[in-house]
Amino acid sequence: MSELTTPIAIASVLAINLLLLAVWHARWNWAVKCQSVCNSAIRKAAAACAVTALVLVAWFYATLPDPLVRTSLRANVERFQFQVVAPVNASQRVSGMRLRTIGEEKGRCVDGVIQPQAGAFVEFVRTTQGQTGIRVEFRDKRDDDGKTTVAVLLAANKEPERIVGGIDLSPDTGQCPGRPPDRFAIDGVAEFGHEFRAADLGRDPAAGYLSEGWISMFITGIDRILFWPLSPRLIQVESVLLPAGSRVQAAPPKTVAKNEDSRARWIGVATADMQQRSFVVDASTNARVIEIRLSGAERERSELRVSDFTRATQDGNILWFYTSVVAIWGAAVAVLSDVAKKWLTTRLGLEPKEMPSSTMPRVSPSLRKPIRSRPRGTLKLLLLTFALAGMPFDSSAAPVRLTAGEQFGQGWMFTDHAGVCRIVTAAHVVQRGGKLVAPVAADGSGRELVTTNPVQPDPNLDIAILTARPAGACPVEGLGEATAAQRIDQSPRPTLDFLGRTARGSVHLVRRARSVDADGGRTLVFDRAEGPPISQGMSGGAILDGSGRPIAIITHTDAEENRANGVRVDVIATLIRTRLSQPAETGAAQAVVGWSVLHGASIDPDRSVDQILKDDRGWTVAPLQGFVTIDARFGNLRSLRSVSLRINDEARGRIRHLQIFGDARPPRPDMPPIGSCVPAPGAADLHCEFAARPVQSLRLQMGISASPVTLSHLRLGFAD
Amino acid sequence: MYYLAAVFVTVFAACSHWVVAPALSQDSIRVLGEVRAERLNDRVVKVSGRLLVGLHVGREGTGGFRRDELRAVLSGKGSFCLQISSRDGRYGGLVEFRQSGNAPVDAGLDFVSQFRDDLVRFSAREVATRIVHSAVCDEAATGPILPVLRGERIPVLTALVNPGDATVFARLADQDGKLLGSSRVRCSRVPEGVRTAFSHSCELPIPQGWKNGPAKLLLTVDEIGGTPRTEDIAIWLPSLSSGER
Repeated sequence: MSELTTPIAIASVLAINLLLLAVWHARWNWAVKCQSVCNSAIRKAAAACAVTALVLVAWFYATLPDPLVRTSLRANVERFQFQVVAPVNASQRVSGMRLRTIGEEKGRCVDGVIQPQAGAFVEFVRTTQGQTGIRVEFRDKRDDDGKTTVAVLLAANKEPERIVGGIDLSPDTGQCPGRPPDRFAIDGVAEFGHEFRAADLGRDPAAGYLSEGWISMFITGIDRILFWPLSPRLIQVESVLLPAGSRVQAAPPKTVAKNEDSRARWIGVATADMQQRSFVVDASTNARVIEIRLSGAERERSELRVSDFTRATQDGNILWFYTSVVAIWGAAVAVLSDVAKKWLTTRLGLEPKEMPSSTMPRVSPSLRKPIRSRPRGTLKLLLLTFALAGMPFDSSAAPVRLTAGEQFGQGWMFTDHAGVCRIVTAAHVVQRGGKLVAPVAADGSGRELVTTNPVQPDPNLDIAILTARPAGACPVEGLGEATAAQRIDQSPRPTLDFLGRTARGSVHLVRRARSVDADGGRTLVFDRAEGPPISQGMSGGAILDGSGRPIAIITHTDAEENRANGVRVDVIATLIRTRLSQPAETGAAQAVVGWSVLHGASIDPDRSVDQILKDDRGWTVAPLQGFVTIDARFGNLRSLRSVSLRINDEARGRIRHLQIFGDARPPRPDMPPIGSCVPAPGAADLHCEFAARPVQSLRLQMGISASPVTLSHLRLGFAD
Repeated sequence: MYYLAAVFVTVFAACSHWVVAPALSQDSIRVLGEVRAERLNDRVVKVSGRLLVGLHVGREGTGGFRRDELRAVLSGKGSFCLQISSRDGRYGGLVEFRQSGNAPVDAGLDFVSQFRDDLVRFSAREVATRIVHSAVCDEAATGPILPVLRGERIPVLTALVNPGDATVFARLADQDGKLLGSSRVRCSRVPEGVRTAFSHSCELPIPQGWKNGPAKLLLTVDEIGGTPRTEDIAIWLPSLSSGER
């Protein structure tokens, strides 16, 4: 429940109700000879209004679910550490490093995956030589008994090695083969900037100093009011610049509510910064309270948290609820007033009369008109309009912002001729290392969309088409190619709509040329007329005609000339129709909406388990205690009848079996088995068929006696 | 009448204290030291940068730091320098005591602090104390280090050290380098808070039958990505019985 918002909300609703009733009351008194009976009725109606409004607001707040909170941190830190919660997620691929037990002088080269155990501390330090040292140890005396495994070393063609007493890893490229890692996983209870010592303080001049960073808190807006489903928005509620020397951690247990996980984890990645001898940390947590201690006020604790007030004022769906309740209630009051008047007039015989002249306002006799002649529906109409205006219709927020790593660009979301939700953008916006990647897309209201299957339909044209999900977020409009030529003619001064880092913007353009010969007449050229200067981040943005419909997609920007080139939308629509005639995803890739690894450790940090069904490179995993177990979740109930998988050459003959579990419910620990199979000797593929079962969650458990193995070409056979 | 009652209560309380408080041995004295360079700041300020910041015998409780309950076995003639620093580096002070005789003296240490009320607010575990037998009394004073007798009287030597984020092991040896006790102790990190003055605490059991005398504290510092190095620190280790006196 709210601490502050509820009283404010109740007071607001009450005040508005009372205001409405007061107006109504006054008009009524003026209009009829109101006797005690009608006054009493009005008073009761007013009380009923107030009580109902109060109950509604209280009920709304009592049933409001807690928002999902995500806080992201990007900062430069000298060193960082975390306490492991989930060993699989904290695994770190290491090579070109020397491993030694803490306290001992000699070590040995290591090439494999270090999997720290739960409760261990993992610490990363930039040494004075500019290299990265890693330490894994227990810091609790109970665990540090010399017998408890602090980490497991998973190396190729070797049995997992359990290490006790803490390990120290330091780069030694001179003697150890491989390259030391420069990206490090963060997954556990962490504190960033955990020490702040000036250069001349203490024995260790600076330990974990946080030199600068940003911390931003997001919440997911409510997705349902009563029984009305809504599109939840991702809302940024706080963004704080962290000065050098700050310390950040998820709030310690004492400040966390009872029902919250006191061991809030930070999950993310840190990259070694060669110049600064520090790490660039990108991490996020779902802790509801973040504790910050700013430099200069180390003993004072500040908190970053989502208050109900912030939530109520920033979540558009809650605002809409308030607006609607007030307005609909007001309209209902107006309707009831008519009914009451009619009843009083007909049943009690209270005819409307003019007030005595002494109490009448001083107005010209010519302006005095019987009240009944006024339009009775005006108030109701106004209030209903007010209510409807606030409704959270899914806007056709067609411009989207695409982010891929450090770079970002624009895109335009639409529904193609086959009903598939697409995003069109400039190909260079989604190009990384010569390949097209699927970026993160966010629409104008901050809602994030999943993009897949980037395609460049014409290699001579800097245009890429992506598929977007959820499809429900897509506007129903297409590109409007049928009228594009006409609209281009009629739009000599179009507008470029774009989504900046923090806000939406637009640039007024003037068309300079109708085509560029090199592109076969498919490109339009525009100059900036008014608004922000043309810049690189506008690539992929849509140029809109006077009615807000796209006429071209920007593929090239020239900041010096303030000029932009765009490909006509009718050209793009033709490309989609002729070269992307099939929906982008079919089969297993479309069915699976979520993955999780229960047993085993990913070897390649750049490739996740979902690669298992995407391409030939597949997913390389080190088994844990001889097993790899993964869970897949389907978007809806599917009738599954087969599973097949490809095993890489090195691992053939080392996969003992594949056992398949499935359930019609979300994944849970004890899912029933639905099939199993043993690979034929030397077979490249493992194929399991079984009686079709309706499943929504699937678990694949593989017994593997080699490490690591690459799994790919996962195929799921559905009977439906 | 009230006046007489008050006098009676006061006298009774004083007598009770005399009986209940740890009785000093007959040769124990209470020495008053001269405070130098005493400071209390709002901000974290410069500290010595030495490895061994505190050395005491006994185990501190969770209460506040009691300046008037510090004791030590002053072994040797000359000047002794009590160095005090809070873990967060805000409080620091040097107190000089003088000892005329050569025989070890169990002394209650006393000094007048201008921050006596503030000192009580520090948790006892947040304050490091150690005594250096040195002719000069400053941050850089060198000489055998004597532990301060503090807290619960148990035969445990606590070393408060400042290696930052390195891992530290501690061990006791006699003056000739012969190891005392069975195995080295891994120092534990002090948990939350600002750790400017010291970051680790090492608890070393004092061997049974140890006689008051010089010893060595071996601190092995193992930094991340480096190799372990050991420092020998000359200390004066009191016997178990002296801690109980």
